[in-house]
Amino acid sequence: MTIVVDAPVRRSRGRRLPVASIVAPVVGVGVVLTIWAIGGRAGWASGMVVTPAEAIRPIIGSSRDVYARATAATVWSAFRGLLIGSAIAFVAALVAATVPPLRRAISRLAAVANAAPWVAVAPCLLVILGRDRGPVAVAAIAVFFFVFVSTSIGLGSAPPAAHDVLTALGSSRRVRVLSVQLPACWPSVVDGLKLGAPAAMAGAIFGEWYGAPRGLGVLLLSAMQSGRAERLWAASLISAACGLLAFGLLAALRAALVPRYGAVITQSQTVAEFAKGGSRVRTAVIELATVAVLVVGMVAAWWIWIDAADISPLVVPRPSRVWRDIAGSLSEYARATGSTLATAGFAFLLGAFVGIAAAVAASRIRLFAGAVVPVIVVLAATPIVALFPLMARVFGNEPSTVRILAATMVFFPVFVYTRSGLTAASRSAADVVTALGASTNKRFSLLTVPAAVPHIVSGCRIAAGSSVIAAVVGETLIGSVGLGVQFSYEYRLLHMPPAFGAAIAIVVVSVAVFAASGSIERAVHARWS
Amino acid sequence: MNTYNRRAFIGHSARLMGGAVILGPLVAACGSDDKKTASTSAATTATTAAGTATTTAATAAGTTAGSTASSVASLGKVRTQFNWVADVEWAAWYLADNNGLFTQYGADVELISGGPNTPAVAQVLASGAADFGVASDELQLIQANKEGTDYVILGAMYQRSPFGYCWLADTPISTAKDLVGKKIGGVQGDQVRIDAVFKVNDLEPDYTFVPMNYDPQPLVDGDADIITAYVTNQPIQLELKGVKTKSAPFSDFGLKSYGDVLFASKKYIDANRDLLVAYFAGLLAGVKANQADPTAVIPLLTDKYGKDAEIDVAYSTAGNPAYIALYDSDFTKANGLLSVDPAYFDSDVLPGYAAAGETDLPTAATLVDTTILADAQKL
Repeated sequence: MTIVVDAPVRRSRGRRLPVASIVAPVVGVGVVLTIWAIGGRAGWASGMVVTPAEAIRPIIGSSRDVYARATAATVWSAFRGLLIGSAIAFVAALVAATVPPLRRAISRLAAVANAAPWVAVAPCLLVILGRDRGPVAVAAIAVFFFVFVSTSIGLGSAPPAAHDVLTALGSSRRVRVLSVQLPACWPSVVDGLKLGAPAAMAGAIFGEWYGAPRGLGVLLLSAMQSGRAERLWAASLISAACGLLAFGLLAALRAALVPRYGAVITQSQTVAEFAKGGSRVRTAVIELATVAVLVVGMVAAWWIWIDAADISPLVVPRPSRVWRDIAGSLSEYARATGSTLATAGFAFLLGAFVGIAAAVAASRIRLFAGAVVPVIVVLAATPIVALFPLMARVFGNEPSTVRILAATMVFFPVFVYTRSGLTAASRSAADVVTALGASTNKRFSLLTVPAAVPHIVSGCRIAAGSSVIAAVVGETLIGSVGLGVQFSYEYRLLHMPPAFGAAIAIVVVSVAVFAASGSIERAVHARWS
Repeated sequence: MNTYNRRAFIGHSARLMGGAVILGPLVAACGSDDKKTASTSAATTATTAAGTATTTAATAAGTTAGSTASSVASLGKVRTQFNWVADVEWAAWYLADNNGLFTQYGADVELISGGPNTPAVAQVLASGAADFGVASDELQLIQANKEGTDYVILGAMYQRSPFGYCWLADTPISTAKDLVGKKIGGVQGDQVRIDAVFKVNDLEPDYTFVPMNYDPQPLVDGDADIITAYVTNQPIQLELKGVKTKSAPFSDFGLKSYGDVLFASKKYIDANRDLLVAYFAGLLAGVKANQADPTAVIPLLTDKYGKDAEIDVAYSTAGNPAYIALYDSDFTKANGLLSVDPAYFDSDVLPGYAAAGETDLPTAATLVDTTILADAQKL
C-alpha cells in the first residue's frame, strides 16, 4: 500500500546528464503552462478554460481576503480531520496488531470506511454533526484508511529477528510492540499521512459542499453556479497547492525519519498476514463469520442509535424500512448496480491502460518522464474529487465525462505503482543479464516486467476501489443511470428508505469490488513475488 | 439538497424587473431621537413606500424603541435555516437582522445559510439544528410530513415560486405544448415537477431528461433545449454574461406554488408562539425595508452576510428587484405581505402536486396556520 510517488527514477548508466534531470521537468511544466495559456486564450470548453494569469487574478486581486479566509477555513478543517482520522486509525491499527482476535474485524471495518462513498455519507454526517463539524468528519474518514493501512504495514515491518530475540528473552507482546514495532512504524505512518493530507483536503472541500459557512468548497460551488470560470480555477489552484504543500512537507518529514527508523517495506507483509494460516475452507468460513458479525453489529448499532438518540425518520430511516424497500424492488437495485459497475469497469480498464502505458513510456523515454512526471506528481497530490465540477465543465455534460472522471481516479494509483514496480528488479540481476549481452528490450521483458507485475496489481487493487467511488460521485453530479443517480434522486425527494437503500448498495458494491480485487492481488503476489 | 438547481435562469428578468418598480428611499429619518433611529426609520420608510394601509408596525416599533431606548426583553432565539447560500433571496432577513427589526420585537435570530448540497431544510429542522425553516416550496414539507414530521406552513416569502424554466431567447417556447419532445435539463428529482407541468396541461410527459449539476452551461452549449431554474437567478446570471434567454416560473405553465415557504414544527410553534409572532413582525418590517430600498441590502450582503461567498454585486443588484416583484399578489394587497391563502392552496397548489403523482395530500386546514402572521401584522 506504500505509494512511492517520489521514487527516484534509476538513471541508466552511461548517459548520465544532470542537466536533463533539471531541464526535462522545466520543459514539462513549461509545455503544460503553454498549452493551458493557449487553451485559455482560445477559450476552450466554452470559455471554461482560462489562462493561468486569469486564474490567479482572483487570489491576488480585490477578493484576496475572501480566498484567504476560505483557505484558512478549509485547511483548518482538513488539519483537524487529518489529526482525528489518523489518531483513530493509529489506535485501530495498534489494537489490531496487539489483539489478534480483533484483527480481521478491524481490517474489514477499515475497508468499509474506505469504501463508504462520501456522497452517500456526507449528508447524514452533516445533519448529525452540524455544518461546522461536517467537513472535519468527512476529512477524517478520507484519511482513516491511508493511515490505518500504512500503520499496519509499519507495525509489521520490524525484522522477525528482533521479535525472536525479545521473545526468547521472555518479553511480553506489549513490550515487543513498544520497543520493536512502534519505532519501526513511524516512517510508514508518515507515509500514510503524506497520502492522507491531500485526501483530507478533498474530504474537507467535499464536506463544505454540504453547507459549510465558508471554505474553498463554498467558493467552488458559488463559482460554478454563477459560471465564473476564473474563480473556479482559482479555488481549484489553491486546493491543489495546499494538497501539494502538505504532501511535500510530509515527504520531507518521512525522508528525515527514514535514516533514524529504517525504510518502509512494501506491502507484501500485510498480504502474507492474511494469506497465512489454516485451510482455504477454514479461512472462508472465518471470513464469512466475521462479515456476518460485522453486519449484524452495524445494523444493531444503527437501530439502537436512532431509538436512543430519537433520530427523526426523515434524517435516518429504520433498517426495517430500508430492507423492505430493497427487498421490494430488487430488480431496480440490480439494474442500477449493473450500470454503476459497467461505468466503473470501463473507467478501470481505460485508467489502468493509460496508467501502465504512461509509466512504461516514462521508464523508457527520458524526456517524457521529465516532462510528465512532475505534472503527475502535482495532480496526484490534488484533491481530484473536489475538482470534479471543474472537469465536468471542461469535458461537457455527457455520460462519457463520468467515465473520464472515474478513469482519472484509476490512472494515478496505477501509474504510481507501475512506475515504482518498473524499478523493482534487482540491480545485480540486471547487471547479470546485461553482462550476458541482453538488449534493453530483452532486459525489459525478462526482468523488469516480471518484477513489476506485483506492484501493478497492487496499484490496480487500489484503483478498483477508487473506480467505484469515482463512478458514483460522477453519477451523482451528472449521471443519468446508476446507484449514484438513484441515491441523489431519492434523497432529493426525501424518500429516505430508497435513498439509504442506494447508499447501502453503494457501500456493498465497493466493499465487494475491493475484496474481490484483494483476492486477485493475493493470487498474483503468491505467483510472482 | 432541495435547491440544487435553483440558479439556472435569467430570461424572465426583464419582465420581472419591469414589475419591480424601484421604490427609492422616499422618506428620511422619522424623527426618533434614540439609538433606534436607524431601524425605526427603515420600518417607517418601508411602510410608506409599500403603500400599505397599515402603519402599525412602524408605530409600534417607534413606540417600543422610544419608550425603552433599547430592545424589549428577548423572548428567545429563532435559528433560521435557509435553503440556499447567502444571496439577495434573503434580503428581508438581512435587513431585519442588521437594522435591529427582529430584536425590537423581542426575537433574537441566527441566520444559517444552506447550499446546493445541504440536507433539505426539513431534515435540518428534524435533526434539531434549526428552529425555523425556509423551504423552496411546499412539496418538501408534504413529503417530510409523510415521513413523520409535523411541519406547519406559517407564511411564504414569495407569492409565486421563482422555480421554473429558462431557455435561449431564440428557442420558440411559450406554452406547455412547446415542451413536448424537448431535451429538458435539471437536477435529479426535478423530473417530478417537469412531469407535473405536462400533466396539469393534459399532456403526456414526453421529453428527454438531461441531468445537470449546478450551472446552466448545458443550455448554452445546446446539450439541453430548456432547463429548470430560478427565474430570479440563472436568467440574470446568463444575461450578465451576454446570453439572451427567456424564462418563466412553473406557475406560468399552470403549476402553482408559493416560493420560499416559511415553516416550523407544530411542536415548536405551540411552545414558542409569542416568539414567532415577534419574529414575523420583524420579518415583515424587513420585507418592507427591502421594498423601500432594494439597494440597501447589497453592501450588507457583500460585507457581512455573504462575505465568505464572493457575492456578485452585478447579479445581486439585478436579482433583488426580481425577487421583490414576487412579494405581492392580489391576496397580499388585501391580507398583507407574507400571507398564504388557504383557499388558493386547496384549489390551485395542491392539485398541481396531485398531478405530479403525489398521493395522500394534506389540506390547507392541517398544513397551513395563518394566525401567527395575522397576530404579527397587528403588532
